[in-house]
Amino acid sequence: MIYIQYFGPLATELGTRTESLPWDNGGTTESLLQLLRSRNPRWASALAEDKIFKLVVQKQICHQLTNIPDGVEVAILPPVTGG
Amino acid sequence: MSIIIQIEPEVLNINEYTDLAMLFNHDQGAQVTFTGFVRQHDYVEPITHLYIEHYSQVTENEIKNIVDKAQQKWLLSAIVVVHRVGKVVVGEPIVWVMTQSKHRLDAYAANEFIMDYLKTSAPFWKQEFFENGESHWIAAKESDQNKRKKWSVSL
Repeated sequence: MIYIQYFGPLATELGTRTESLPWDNGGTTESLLQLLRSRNPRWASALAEDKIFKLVVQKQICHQLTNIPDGVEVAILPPVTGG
Repeated sequence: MSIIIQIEPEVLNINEYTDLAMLFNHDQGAQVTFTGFVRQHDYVEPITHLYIEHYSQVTENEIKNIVDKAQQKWLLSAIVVVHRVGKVVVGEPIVWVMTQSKHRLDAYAANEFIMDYLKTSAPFWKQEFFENGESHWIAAKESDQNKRKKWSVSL
């Protein structure tokens, strides 16, 4: 199981802020995105390849393809608007 | 070198931070502070407040990365970054950045750099609430991305 958090406008668009996802076979940041996109058109659109967002695994922002071990916290961050 | 990074859920007391900044001033010639406030009007409909979301620990770590980069580029003796989260009402301060150095050029440049990177890298998301009851998430601005590019620094 992995524990996914969604933030900001992405959470609003997807209609959820958190979820637990079975992760027995493991995967990467890319395979996770592909899995989520395959759910339905809303998820495919929100997480489309031409959209910019950051993946975070175990509280570390990923700047490249990253392996996601089972049991960890993951987050998907839309473009930021602080400051 | 003194660094303070604080995520604050309550109203900022700017005077407290100004007093704190003076405690760091040991024979330093320059101290630059920036305060960002919630403005009422970006659109025709007035704003009542913002709601600011962040990702605990990840946001602080990213601000630390930004502050570390500033230290690498300029000779600074103190940096303080304070950022609100939660509900922030029109007129209230959202962010306070202090940079301190022997001479003013480093303090000025580092302060601008930190703000440019706070706006484009730090995990915060702002939601605007309007007097007519509507709300929306603020979209990231291309102008902020363009401004950041002048520094040519990757985090």
